[in-house]
Amino acid sequence: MSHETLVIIAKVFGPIWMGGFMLIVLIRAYNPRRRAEQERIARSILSAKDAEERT
Amino acid sequence: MAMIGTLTTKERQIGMGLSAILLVLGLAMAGVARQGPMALHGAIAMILGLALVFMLGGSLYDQSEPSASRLTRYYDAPTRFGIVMTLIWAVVGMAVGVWLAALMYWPEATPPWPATSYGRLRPVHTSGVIFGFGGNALIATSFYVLQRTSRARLVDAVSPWFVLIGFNLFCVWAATGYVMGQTQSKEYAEPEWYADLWLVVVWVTYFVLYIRTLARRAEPHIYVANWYYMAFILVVAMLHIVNNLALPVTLGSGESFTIWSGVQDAMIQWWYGHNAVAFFLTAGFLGMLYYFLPVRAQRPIWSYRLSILSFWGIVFFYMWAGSHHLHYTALPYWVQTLGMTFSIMLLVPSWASAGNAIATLNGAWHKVRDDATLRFMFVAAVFYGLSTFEGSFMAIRPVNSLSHYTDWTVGHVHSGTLGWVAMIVFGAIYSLVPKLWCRDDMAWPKAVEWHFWLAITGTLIYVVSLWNAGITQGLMWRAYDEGGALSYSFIESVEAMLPYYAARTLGGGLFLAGALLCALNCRATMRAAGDRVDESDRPLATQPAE
Repeated sequence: MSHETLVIIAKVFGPIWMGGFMLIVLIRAYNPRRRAEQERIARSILSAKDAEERT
Repeated sequence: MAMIGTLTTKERQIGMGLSAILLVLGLAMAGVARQGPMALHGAIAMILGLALVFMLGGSLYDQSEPSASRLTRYYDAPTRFGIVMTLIWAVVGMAVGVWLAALMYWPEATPPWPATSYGRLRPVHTSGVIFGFGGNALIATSFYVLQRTSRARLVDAVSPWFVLIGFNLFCVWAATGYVMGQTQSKEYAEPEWYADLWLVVVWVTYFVLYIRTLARRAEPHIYVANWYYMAFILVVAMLHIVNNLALPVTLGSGESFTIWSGVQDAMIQWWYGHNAVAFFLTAGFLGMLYYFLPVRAQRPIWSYRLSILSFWGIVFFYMWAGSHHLHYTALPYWVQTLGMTFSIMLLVPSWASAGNAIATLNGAWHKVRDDATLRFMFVAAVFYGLSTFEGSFMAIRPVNSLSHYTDWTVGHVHSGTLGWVAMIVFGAIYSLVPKLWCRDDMAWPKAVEWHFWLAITGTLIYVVSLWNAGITQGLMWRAYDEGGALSYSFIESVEAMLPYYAARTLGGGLFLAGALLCALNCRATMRAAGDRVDESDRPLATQPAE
């Protein structure tokens, strides 16, 4: 394989790989079905007393 | 000695065995090396091993075992030890830094011995603050955060001590080696091959302990702070091993040659160097931020989903940014461009984290006003945003042509380390120390307020003076007269630095004064330990019979 071919493959595959990976993370993180779970996780580190004060 | 009281007889015996191995290892090192830094380091290990054998051996007969109820509580003794080490290294590392800053203004004051020369003391400052202060803070807080977010006690009681004591032995080897002139000449990776191998053993133990405890968690999820801490542990191991691959001259010499050569060596070094900033000085501290800021503000993180996105962004982008340290060098042009591009992209996850932290404080601004501890964390988030913007900006090739090799870089680094890293550490320390020593508050609450203002004033003076210094240097070095000759000699650009170097010494001095006040305040708090126990602060997981 020539150097040029390798560079073309890297330049084509690299952005697809990076972009694709970010897309998967984005879809998984922002899936509305996970919202309640995420809300619970975010509050899980606060003590029960703190949670009462806020609500 | 109180630490040993937390160990069972069996654990003390295991500890004694490990200490005996350290003793023999130290003796072998000293014997094989016979002279030089490696011999001294062998002797240090031997003395430490011997002291631990005696301490643990004595306790087998003199001290009673801890009660079985300990398993229903978190194991915080290692965190307490780690905080004490953090404070000691803070004072040592920052004091050396201020001394060196003063030498820049007043080089005639350099003592006439090789051991106290600028070149040997500079890595004592950098390793002292990064590894000694930052590393101990990371390890100590990670044990605390891991247990609380997993609602599980650390899986065993020996390995946290092995990690902390082993890591501090590495730091002592590093600092004493530099003073004796030992170095691999790799920035932030100066310690020699045997110290590097030792750190690998310590670090793998740390990772295994972390994973085993996580595996026992009583929560279904893994809170995001743990992701950051794990990225810190895992990636630092990877970077450390690859950058430090070296062949010792002989097994008895504290000297080695790196297996990398030429521009590959430069690339590997700055892949390591910049990711040391990313994963040692950022990822772990973001873990700290994502736990301590919401807990102190008593508000959940503004957007948990954004924290996930910024985590993967940081992990993915940072890996490629290192080559921006090598603009205008023999490194292929496209690799430099790659580093530059990823550095700019990094702004997105960095600002997402900084913004997420600041938005969390919405509705709690009155607390930021009244509570200096929370203010430390708020300022940390602001400086994180500022210095990541500055970093992305400086990675742009034409900007770098002005900033590189000037004090602007040093100013940028200190905006990150003083403004972001140290501030979040102090915030975490002031949150933890009263809790771990069973009190409602620090012994001297007003001193926290003083520390905050000393730290912020010191940071601003330091950073602003070095911005001025760096840009002045950069412009003087590129100024030409009509004939095409340089307008200024190099020494003229050095002389122009004097007022800025005086100001940075003052700024650093104020920051050091604040750190000293923090250390004294913590000492007073530890000495006046109370008996206030938070009964809700307990693991939920069923504990293994240790």
